[in-house]
Amino acid sequence: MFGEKALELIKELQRCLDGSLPPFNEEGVRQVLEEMKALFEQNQGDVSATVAGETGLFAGVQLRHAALERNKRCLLAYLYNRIQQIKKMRWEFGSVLPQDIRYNLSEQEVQWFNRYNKCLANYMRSIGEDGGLDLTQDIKPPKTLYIEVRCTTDHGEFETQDGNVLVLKKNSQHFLLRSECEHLIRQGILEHIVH
Amino acid sequence: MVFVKDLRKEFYEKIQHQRVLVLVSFDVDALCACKILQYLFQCDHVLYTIVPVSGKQELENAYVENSEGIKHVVMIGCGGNIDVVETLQPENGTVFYISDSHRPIDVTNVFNQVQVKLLMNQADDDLHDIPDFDEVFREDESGDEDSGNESDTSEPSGKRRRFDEAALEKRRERRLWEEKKKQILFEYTQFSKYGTSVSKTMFELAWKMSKDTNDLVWLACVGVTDQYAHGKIDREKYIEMVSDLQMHVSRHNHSLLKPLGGNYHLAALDKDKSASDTFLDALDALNRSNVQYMEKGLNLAKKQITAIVKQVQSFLDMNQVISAGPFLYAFIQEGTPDAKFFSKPICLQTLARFTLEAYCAVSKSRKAKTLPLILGAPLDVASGTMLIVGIPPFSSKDVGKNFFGKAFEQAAVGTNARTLQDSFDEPVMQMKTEDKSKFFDALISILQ
Amino acid sequence: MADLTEELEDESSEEGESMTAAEVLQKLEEAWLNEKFSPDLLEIKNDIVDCMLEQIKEMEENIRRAKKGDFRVGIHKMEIDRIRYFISSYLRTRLQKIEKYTAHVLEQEKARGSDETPQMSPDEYTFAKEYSENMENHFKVLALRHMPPNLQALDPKHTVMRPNLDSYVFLRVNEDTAGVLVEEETAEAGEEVIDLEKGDQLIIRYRPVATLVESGAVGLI
Repeated sequence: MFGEKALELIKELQRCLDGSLPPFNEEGVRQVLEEMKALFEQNQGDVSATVAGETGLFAGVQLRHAALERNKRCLLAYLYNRIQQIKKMRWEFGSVLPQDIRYNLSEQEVQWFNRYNKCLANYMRSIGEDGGLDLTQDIKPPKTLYIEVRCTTDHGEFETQDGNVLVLKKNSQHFLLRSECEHLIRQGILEHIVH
Repeated sequence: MVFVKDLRKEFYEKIQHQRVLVLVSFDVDALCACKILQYLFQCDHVLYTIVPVSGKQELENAYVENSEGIKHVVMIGCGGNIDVVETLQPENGTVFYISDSHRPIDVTNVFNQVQVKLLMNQADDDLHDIPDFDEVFREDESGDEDSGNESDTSEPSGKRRRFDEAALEKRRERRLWEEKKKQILFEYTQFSKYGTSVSKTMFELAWKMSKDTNDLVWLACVGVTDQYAHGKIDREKYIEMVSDLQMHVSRHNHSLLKPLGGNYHLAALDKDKSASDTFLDALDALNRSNVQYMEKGLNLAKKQITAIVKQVQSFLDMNQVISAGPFLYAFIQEGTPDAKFFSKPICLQTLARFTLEAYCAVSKSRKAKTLPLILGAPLDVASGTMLIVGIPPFSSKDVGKNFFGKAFEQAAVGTNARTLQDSFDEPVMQMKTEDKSKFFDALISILQ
Repeated sequence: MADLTEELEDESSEEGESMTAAEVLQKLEEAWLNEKFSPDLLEIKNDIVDCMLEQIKEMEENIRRAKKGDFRVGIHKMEIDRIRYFISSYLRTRLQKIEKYTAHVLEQEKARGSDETPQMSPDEYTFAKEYSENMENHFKVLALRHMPPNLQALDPKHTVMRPNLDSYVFLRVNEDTAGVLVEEETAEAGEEVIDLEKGDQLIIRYRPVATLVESGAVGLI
């Protein structure tokens, strides 16, 4: 059946709706493109034959063209949705992706990420008169100024807004300005303790 | 002396606008105290870092790792019985506020006017035996004559070795003083015991600040009850503290708290015991609202008590409690099921108390009741280490008063046994299993 | 909040009138809500954003000067957090729309007459263009250029996402507005016109009231 490989790619997206990102399916993408090439060549052959006077090939050409369109659409959807996922991670993890996630990106996706990083950074720097504004902060409406957090891994040093240096060690517990540790919570380094 | 009289003025208001490091030991009383303090800190936006520490080594590490920029350190359930300034080598200007029920308080902490503040009530019985300053410190101690003379011996003697009566007299007097100091310190440190619950101390602070709530009374109750349940304090002290708290309980509500107390208490207690790294879980478990944790804790507690009962039964059935003369002892064999429970100090201590009580109940020897007990359990088979705890005799009038800390120390020094007294509880020690017999020989001769 | 009620010269407002900081904050909140609930990208309120960022800076300066332990510091910090949240959330919402409807907003900008005010700020426009190029390039390199020649182009009909202006919104009426054409005349029914009275709250299709949202006559909630 035509389009089966493309459907595989879409199913793969479906499986990672939980926010995970599987490795870029280079082989799947290649196979879809190959199928498209084959379909196109068959169509070209049929078209030439028709021009030469053969009849009854039109329906086949139509079908194959529909398959081509569908393959194209699925392939683009695959790429687009992966980009959405990668973009989400830029907002969660910041401009440096964790090694294990980066590993699952194709080279071209890494390039996309770097460019996105750059234009997002440029934009955020331009906000206001000076200094800009980090839009990846202040994600949730503020409820309290300070929150209690627990450190889930050995993270290392962390400088607070007032210039103090804290060492974030596994199982240490801290009372901090909410705004300054929000991104660490999103990265899972700190855990917000709600009483 | 540096006992803080007004907790609010001399402690809380001093740290209120500072970043504070809180070092807290792994026992339920300390945990409760810590939660009370956290509540106060959160009310007043005091920024803090809390690090749990299981022993002296962890305490040192935690301080080194977290002390940057910190000028105010609160120690809960630890620090009292070690020389804090000597151990932690803090920068000048760093102040330690110590709330700890371990006794005796190290004398250097008591007399450090600048860097150590003790959050304890000086009027308490357990603090009456502190030596006088002049008995343990001398103003001229730094300008030590002895060492000066020693370095002089290489010089041509002649007139320098002249008969100098005054100097001789001074040295003699000093030697006497040193001997007396040694004796006084020995007497002072001979027994380890426990003073007022630290969670009760913290609750009093909250009360003075009019920030006491139902939940805080509850925490203080748990802390005090823990001390009693672990045989750290006697019934009188317990009743004294509880009736104090009772006043607050009835002020806050009428009957709700008491019946719940006992059950929930088990939960909190156990979490701490069965896995030391679940300290923070235990903090959560102490929330009265956290029923889920409570249940988990209760189940663990049940398992642990079952393990203890089984172990006691097996000790008695197999006649494994043996008299060494001055004390009784028993060892848990490697490979015993549930041995992992007993590699935790608190749990091993509990087992020791049950074992001794059971042994006294069935023993025909009347002497049994007058003997203390040492209990050993495998700690880490790979590195060949064991954990031992010592508890006072069953008939002892001074509950919690325990001479094993000092005795262990002396036996270890005398035999070069490889030991580690890392716990804040002195009568708890780690030891290389192969050094066991020479260590015990020494211990017997010391205690005879 | 002394420094919030101080009179601030809002130089950039058209009439040159002055607004208090509290009024500017109010405007920011309105802009934020409108942006949050409208399907379309609205006109950027750059002046308000700049003004409030300036305000935050001033408040931070005041805090630095305040004595340690002054209880007002906590309240000020909280207020700063709140304002910063409005600004961030406002700009974030816009950015999300720009990313989603990139081609659409760029098309509109291109079609804009010289006398019309742009929807995007210059920096948002730059972002949109770069984002669009990045996306197209990505498709091209990984897929399109390996496809048969007649399939290598992106067909706008299939790929351009457009906001659904016929989705329904909640709104509150700020100014009396008469004669709003809600439904065009169709074969089955005549046109439907309503009068909006200040304080009314209703659910309605976005398209007919889009211009009223921009003008401030109604606010989305």
